[in-house]
Amino acid sequence: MSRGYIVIAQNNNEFDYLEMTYALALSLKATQRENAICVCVDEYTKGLVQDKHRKVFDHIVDIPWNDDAGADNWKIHNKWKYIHMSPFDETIILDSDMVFTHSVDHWWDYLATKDVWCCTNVKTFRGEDVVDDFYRKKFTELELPDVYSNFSYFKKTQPAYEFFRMVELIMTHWNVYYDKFLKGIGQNWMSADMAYALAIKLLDIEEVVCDYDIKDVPTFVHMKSHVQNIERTKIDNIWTKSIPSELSDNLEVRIGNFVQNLPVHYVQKEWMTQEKIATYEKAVL
Amino acid sequence: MRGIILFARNNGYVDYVKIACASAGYARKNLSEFDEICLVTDSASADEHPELIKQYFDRTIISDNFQPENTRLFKDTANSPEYASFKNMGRSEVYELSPYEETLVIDCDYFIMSDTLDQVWGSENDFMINYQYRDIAGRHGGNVSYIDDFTIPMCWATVFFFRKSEFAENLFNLIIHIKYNYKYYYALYNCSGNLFRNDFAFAIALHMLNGNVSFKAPSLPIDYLNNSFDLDDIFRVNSANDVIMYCAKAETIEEHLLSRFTNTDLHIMNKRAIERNVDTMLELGETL
Repeated sequence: MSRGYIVIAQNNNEFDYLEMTYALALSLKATQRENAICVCVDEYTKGLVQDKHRKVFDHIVDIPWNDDAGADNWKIHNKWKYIHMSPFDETIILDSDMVFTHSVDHWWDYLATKDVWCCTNVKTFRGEDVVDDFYRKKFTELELPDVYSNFSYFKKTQPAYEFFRMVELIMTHWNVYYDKFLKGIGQNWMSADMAYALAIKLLDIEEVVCDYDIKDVPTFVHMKSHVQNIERTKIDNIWTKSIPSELSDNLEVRIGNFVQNLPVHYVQKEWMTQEKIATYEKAVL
Repeated sequence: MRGIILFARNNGYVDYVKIACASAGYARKNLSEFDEICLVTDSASADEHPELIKQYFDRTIISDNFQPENTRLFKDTANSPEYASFKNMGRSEVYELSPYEETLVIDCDYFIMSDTLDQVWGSENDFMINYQYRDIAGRHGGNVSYIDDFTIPMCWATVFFFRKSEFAENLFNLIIHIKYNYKYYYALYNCSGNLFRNDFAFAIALHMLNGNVSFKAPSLPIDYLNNSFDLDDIFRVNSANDVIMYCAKAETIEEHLLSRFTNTDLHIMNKRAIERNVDTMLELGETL
């Protein structure tokens, strides 16, 4: 049984997702025994792939059936295609703006007890459980499963295909599903998390693909500013303006004096600098 | 040997030694599983109340270590705030000073009014301290404070337990290091103010000693500290486990609510309030 991580990297005018994915891949190589990574790219991003990327990306896959994201800057529209793009029997979905800090290899066997396992518990930089629904009012209002699409696990089984089929329907007919099921407070734009949550709800599989009792697997540190258990008025919307952080030469990620030992979703794209990438390269290559 | 240690050094503003005697009397009255109660003080403070100290303490340790100038604001309810020196630098030396295998350290303004802390003796933990507190007046909403909004949780060095062990030795060595370099660590951890605080030093040391990851040391048997802040006052002391407090209202701190506390350990931070009642407290406590 092959295992690996999958990421969609689609550059836009603003951010270099390919470079972020490169840093993520290096962090995987540095910390994980299971470190294979499949990077899914559109035509434009494919043209930017260099030899250094090919050295650390185990698979580079074209996003199939056209690019659903089109001209949108926030390219999340292809996130139903993971199961079709993954070369692995078992896959964990990641976002480009993540890094790994310590081994989570031991999570795989545990995740393998389900066909699909969606992450429902994330942490602050201090390791506390995130309880604030600042960015998730609609989830609360509509009692949607509190899932995070990144760090979702799936294996290529019938239930997993059915789940991604539902996500596909929602994403490709967003307006219809939004009007019928998602109207109300909070966001009206499509997000992968919301599409996954609605798919789980419509298929009535929350108890199958989520486990709210287990707070520590799968999980990651989610660096959105207003879930850090810090008063709203005291932290900038861009967390890097409020909380000091660093990547040390031994690849230790420190945020606010806390050494991070979980995968970190740093959110602020500018956090991943060329200097940090060079640190990873020096350690890994 | 199991011992309770109180630190008290008079500063010309508060008679800490007398307050410590009252606190020791309460501890002796309400706890039973310890062997000794010990006062750590300096020569000048010890000379102020030699007879009283003999009555309340099994042992006195004189530590005349230099105390750098540390000044803090003392309040007596919302009135008469005054600055005075604050000699709190000795606490980190307790590992070396303690003659006991198991030591419970309490602030001299911490009044043991229940037998809960008897549960610390024989604990498998090398060190125990609380991270949570409750404001008896309810003015402070949360029960966990951070040293700073962006950094580590604060612990309360008002009461802690340790046993002679490698962990505790390392911890206190680190606290001493932080004490002598506290301006650096204050900057590193965004600590507010210039006053050296044991609470900060303990929290930083515990954080560092555990690899700078999310960590909390084991708590004392009741996992929070009952704090009466210095805006509160004592209305009446009924017995060694019964006190009625004036609790300053959240909305108007000049106004108070009467609240009675029985069989509840209490950290009373208004030193003037304690001094006004200290003779009664000395009478109600137990002597040797």
